[in-house]
Amino acid sequence: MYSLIAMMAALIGVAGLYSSWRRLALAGPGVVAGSWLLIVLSGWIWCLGWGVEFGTVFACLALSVAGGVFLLLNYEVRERKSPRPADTQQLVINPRTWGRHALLSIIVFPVAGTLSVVGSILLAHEMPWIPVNQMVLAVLLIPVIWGAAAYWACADPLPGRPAIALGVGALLSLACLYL
Amino acid sequence: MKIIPSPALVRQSLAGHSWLGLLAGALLYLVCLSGTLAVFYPEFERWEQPRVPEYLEVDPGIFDTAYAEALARDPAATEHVFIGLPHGDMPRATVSTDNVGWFVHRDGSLGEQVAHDWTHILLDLHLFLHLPESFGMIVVSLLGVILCGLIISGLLAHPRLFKDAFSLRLRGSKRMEQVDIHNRLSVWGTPFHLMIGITGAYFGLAMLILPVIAEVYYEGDTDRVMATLFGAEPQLEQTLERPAAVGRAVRAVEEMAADSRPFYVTLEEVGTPQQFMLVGAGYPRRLIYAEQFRFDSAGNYLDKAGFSDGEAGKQAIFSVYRLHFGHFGGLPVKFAYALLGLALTVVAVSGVNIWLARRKHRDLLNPLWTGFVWGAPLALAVSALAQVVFGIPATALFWITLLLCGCLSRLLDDDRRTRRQLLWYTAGAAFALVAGHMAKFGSHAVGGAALWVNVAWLTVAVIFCLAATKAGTRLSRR
Repeated sequence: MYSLIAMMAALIGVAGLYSSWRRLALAGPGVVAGSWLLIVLSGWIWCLGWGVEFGTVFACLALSVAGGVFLLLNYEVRERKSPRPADTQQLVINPRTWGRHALLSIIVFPVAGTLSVVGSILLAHEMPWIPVNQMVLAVLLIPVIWGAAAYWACADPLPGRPAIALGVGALLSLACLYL
Repeated sequence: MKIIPSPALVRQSLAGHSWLGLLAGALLYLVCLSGTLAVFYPEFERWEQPRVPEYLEVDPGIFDTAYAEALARDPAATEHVFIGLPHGDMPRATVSTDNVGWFVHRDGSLGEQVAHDWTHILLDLHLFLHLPESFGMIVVSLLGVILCGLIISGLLAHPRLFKDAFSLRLRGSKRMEQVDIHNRLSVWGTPFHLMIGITGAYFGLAMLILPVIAEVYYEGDTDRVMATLFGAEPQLEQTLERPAAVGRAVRAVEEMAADSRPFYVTLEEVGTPQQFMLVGAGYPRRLIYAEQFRFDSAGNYLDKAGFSDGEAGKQAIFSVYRLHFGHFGGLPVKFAYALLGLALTVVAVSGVNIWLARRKHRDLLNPLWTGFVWGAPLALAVSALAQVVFGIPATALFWITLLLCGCLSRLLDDDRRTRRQLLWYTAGAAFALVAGHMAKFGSHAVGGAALWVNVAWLTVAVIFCLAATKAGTRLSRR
């Protein structure tokens, strides 16, 4: 029963967002806010029925499924534009870009990796928790921090900037941890 | 106040997103595709050996003799014995040493040898990309990291991501179609994708950072870190006169934790005075893989690890497995995971497709990518046919098939024709697989889990046939 109510709440919430997006009869900031409220409420109902652990996961899965349902309702098939297939040219490898790719690889993996590992451990170590909780927080934080650092390294037009910042960050974190 | 990323930030984020995506796209595709199927790995294991008798209720006392018999049959040295108790997901009992395993009949006698070779090919592809385990696991974990980076950069690179959340324009221009598919599936799957990235990265990174954590907390003593997280090994000195009292230990857990269900027993330090047992029990509506109850060899209770009611960190770390593989909440959750896993697979492919469509020219990469993408399902079907039906070791065959698909695609040099041909081949291989499975296993192929897996293969075959036919119609119109 809880599952049914929660799923309905998620579907109605997403329907509200969809209605606003399509500018149907029900639209406007009030509808959007109400829809998000319903989506949050559906999460709470999932938790009531299944406990916090299952409930949280189910709420996320249900939101994705509900979104997919309305996406399918709204798809639009257009006339295929089939440009004349281009001839296959020889693969051109430009060695001038290798330097940049190599530099990015070094920043994304060893540099960002070192910072994320020692930075996460340092951050977790500073939490007022017992060691087991600190360790687990560090382990789960690493991919997020590493991913964010990797993104910065690739996005910055001056790759030296993230390289230096991440490198210095890693060294400072190491110093804080070991000195 | 609206928070809109500046055009420069969007441009830079897009560049970063592309670089990370291209770096990992092909491997991410293989890991996501195999992961989507791996959600159902218990069903695949049952399908591979459909003749094994299935039951749920059993007297745990039978395992005292069953494991002793297994040890007697296996002449090679072993440090562990793993006993799988029958449960909902796997209604079969097994006993395995470090080297070999057998199914256990209801009377405690050993049956057929455990041989899930194709499921292992699938799982090894997902976990290690068929690389050496320790290295492969790190590579796959780094893909989890890159997935996190892709989610962050994707959110920043697409300021209209939420505004266009319901817009899906199919066909039209190739690039617009791929962009819409990529962005829509990404935005609606974001919580799932992030969870998969973080939990996926955990498995390999945990081993990598263990020495660093040990250095910070325990002067480099990694055993103490493991003891903190997973519980210290009991210090025992026993005289082993008879087999370990597995039945007594399982019954004790059933009494101690009435709401739990024991589903495995591990014997550690087998045959030594330090031998002890871990009884793993699943809890309803909990994400933890199991609570571990420890017993000495005579079946006397020692302690429990505390994954069910210990520190939050312990509970969280032991929830990673079920959260990653979707093994909780029954079939609806498995189907939801398969659906969202497939969506992530499509996101990985469409990301590379967008990059290819954006280029102003066509080169070797175009046909190779088409061959790789549509060759992977064929390679899985061919490897299953070889391994399950003919008993031919098929790991190499998987990669050879993939390579041949790339060559075929290069030869045809026409993405639509390649796709159509590979769809036909995959459908043919799937039909052959089901026919071969039925010929080999007879009535066992149309009962229990085997029936549903065969129906799934047939469904894939029919869908691929329909897609190939449709693609053929379009080709003839060209």
